[in-house]
Amino acid sequence: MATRNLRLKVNHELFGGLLLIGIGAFAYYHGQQYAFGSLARMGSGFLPQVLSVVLCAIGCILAVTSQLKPSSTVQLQWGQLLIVATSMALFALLLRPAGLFTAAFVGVVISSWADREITWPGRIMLALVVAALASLIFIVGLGMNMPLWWG
Amino acid sequence: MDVIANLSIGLQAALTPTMLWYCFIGVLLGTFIGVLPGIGPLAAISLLLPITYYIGPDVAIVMLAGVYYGAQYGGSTAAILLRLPGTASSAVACIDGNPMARNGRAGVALFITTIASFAGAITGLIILIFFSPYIAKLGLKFGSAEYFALMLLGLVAACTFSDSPLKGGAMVVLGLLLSMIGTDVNTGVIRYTFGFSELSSGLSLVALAMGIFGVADIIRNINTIDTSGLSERFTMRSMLPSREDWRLSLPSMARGSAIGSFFGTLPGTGASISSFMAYATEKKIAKQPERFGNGAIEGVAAPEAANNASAQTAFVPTLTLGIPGDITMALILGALIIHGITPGPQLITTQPELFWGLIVSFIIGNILLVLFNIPMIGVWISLLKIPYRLLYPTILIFISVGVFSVSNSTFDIYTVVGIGVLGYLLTMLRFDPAPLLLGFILGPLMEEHFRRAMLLSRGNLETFIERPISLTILIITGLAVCFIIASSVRRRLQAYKTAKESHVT
Repeated sequence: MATRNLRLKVNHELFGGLLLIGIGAFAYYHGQQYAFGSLARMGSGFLPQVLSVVLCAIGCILAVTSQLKPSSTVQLQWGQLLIVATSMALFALLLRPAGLFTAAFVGVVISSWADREITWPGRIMLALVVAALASLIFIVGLGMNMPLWWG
Repeated sequence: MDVIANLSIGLQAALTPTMLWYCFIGVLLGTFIGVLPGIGPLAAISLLLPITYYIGPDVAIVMLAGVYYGAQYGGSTAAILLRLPGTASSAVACIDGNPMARNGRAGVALFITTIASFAGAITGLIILIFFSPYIAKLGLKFGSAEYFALMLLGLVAACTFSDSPLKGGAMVVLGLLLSMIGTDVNTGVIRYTFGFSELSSGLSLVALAMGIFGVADIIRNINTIDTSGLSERFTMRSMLPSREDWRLSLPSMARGSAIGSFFGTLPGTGASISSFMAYATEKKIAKQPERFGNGAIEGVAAPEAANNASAQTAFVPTLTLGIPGDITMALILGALIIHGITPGPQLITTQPELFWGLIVSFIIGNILLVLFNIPMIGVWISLLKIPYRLLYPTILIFISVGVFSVSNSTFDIYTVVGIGVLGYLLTMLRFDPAPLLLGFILGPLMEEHFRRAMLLSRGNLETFIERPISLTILIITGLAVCFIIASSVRRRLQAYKTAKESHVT
C-alpha cells in the first residue's frame, strides 16, 4: 500500500514554532469574544488571551532560532497517522448503529493496514478475535450499555 | 507514638477484602499492561482510568497506584529484555540492563530490578509516612497566593528538566490553554466549545491522556517495534545474583533510594529525572566508570531504586498540598478530583482512614509486586513475545471502548483521535507532551487561585511578594528560570563554537 510509506521531512523547530503560532493565534482570535476585564476583576477571557500571546511568543522564538543553526529534520509518517485516525473514527461512527462486534471488526481491519507484514487471512483472524474478545469483556463481562450487533 | 497510631488506622482501612482485592487487581493489571511492548505506565493508567469510575474513590486510588508501580516494573522488564523503554524513566534501565541481558545475565538483571524497586519503594514510603503530616501542617498556612506560587514552581520545574526548556514551556502553556475549554467556574461563561455541548464540562482528562500516551505512541511505534529477538528461558537459579553482585548493588540501591526520595517530593519533578540523576551519580563515583553502558549492575540497581522511591514520595505533595509531584501523579490527582476528593492539607485530619489506608495499601502493593514477579517472570516474558502488529489494533479498540464508557458518548472517541494526531505531531516535532498534561490538570486550580488572590488584593500583583512564604517560593522559581536560561545559553554557545570549528576544518 502506497499510503503506508507516505512520509514528510520537515525542520522540526521551524514547523513546531509555526504550529505553536498557529494554535496561539487561533486561540487569541477566538478568545476575543470573552470579556477581558482587569487584574482585580478578571473576565473569562483574561487568562486565555494572555496564554495565547505567550504561546505565540514561544513559537516565534523557536521559528526564528531554527533558522540560525544547522537544520535538522524529522520524518512524519503520514500514512500511519491517517490509517490509525480513520480506523478509530470509523469505530466511533459504527458503534451506535452497528454494534460493538461490527465496529471492532471494521476498526481492526482498517488499523492493521498500517503494518507492513500482516497478511489478509491474518488480518481477518485478528479482527474476529479482537471483536469477539471485546464483546465478551465489555458487554458480557462488564455489562456496558452498548449494542452488540445491528439494530 | 503518632506513627504507630496512624499506621494502625491505615491497617484497619487497608486490610478489608475490597481494598486488598483492588490492590491485587491493580498491581496485576499494571504489570500485565506495562510489560506489553511499547506501552508505558502513563498509557496503562490512562487505559484503566475509566474502569475506576465505577468503583469508590479510595479503592480507585489504591488500584491506580498499583497499576502505576506495576506498570513501572513491567516497563523495566521490557526495557531490559528488548531495549524498548516505555517511558523516559525506564530508558535509563536499558543502558546497562540490556547489555546484561545480552551477556546472558538477564535473570540477574531482572532479579536486582525487583529488589531495587522494592527497596526504593519502601524508603519512599517511610519518607511519606514521616513527612506528610508536617507538610500538611505547613500547607494549612497557605493562601491562594502561596498555592499559585507553588504550582508555578511545579510547572517551571517540569520544564527545567525537559530536553529543551523552551519547548517544555510551550507544552505547559498549551496544556493550560486546553484546560480553559469548558465552563469558566468564576463567571459561568462557556469558553472554546465551538458549539459542541459535550465540551461544556471541559475536555475529558481520559480522552486527553489516552490520545497523548496511547494513540500518539501507537502511531509512532507501528513498524518500529521488533519483538522477534527474544529467546530467553528462565530458571530460578539463573536469576540469583552472586555475592559480588550483591556487594556492588546494595550501596547503589541505598544511594538511588535517597536521590529518588528527594526528587520525588519536589513538585513537578518525578521518576525520570530521579533515575537519570541516580545513574549519573553512580557513574561519577564508580571506580571503573567505563563499565557503565556495558552491563554494570549498579547502573540497573540505582535508577530502579530511585524511580520507585520517587514514585512513592511524589505522593507527598500530591496528597498533602494537592499539587502533583509528577505527570503520573497529575493523572492520579485528576482521578481523585473526578471522584470528588480534593487532596490538600485537610485530607490527613478530615479523612485519616483514607490517607493512612492508602499508605498501608501501597506497602501491601509493593510486597505483592515482589511476590508476583519473581515466580511469574516466565509469564511476563511470554507476553513480551506478542508481535506489535497484533497488539496495536487490539489496544486501539480497548482505548476507544474505554473512553466511550466514561460518558457513553462517541464524541469522546473523536476527541481522542484529534488529541492523538496532535500528540503525534508534537512528539515527532520533538516536543515532550508530558508537561502538557501537567499544565492541563493544574490549569483550573491555578486560574482559580490566581483570580482569588487578585480579587483579595484588588488587582495588586504585589500580594505575591508581600507574603513571605509566597515570596520564598517565587524566589526559588526565579532561580530555576535563571538556571534554565543560563544553561541553555551556555549550550547554544558551545554548539555554536563547535559548529564554527568544524566549519573551519
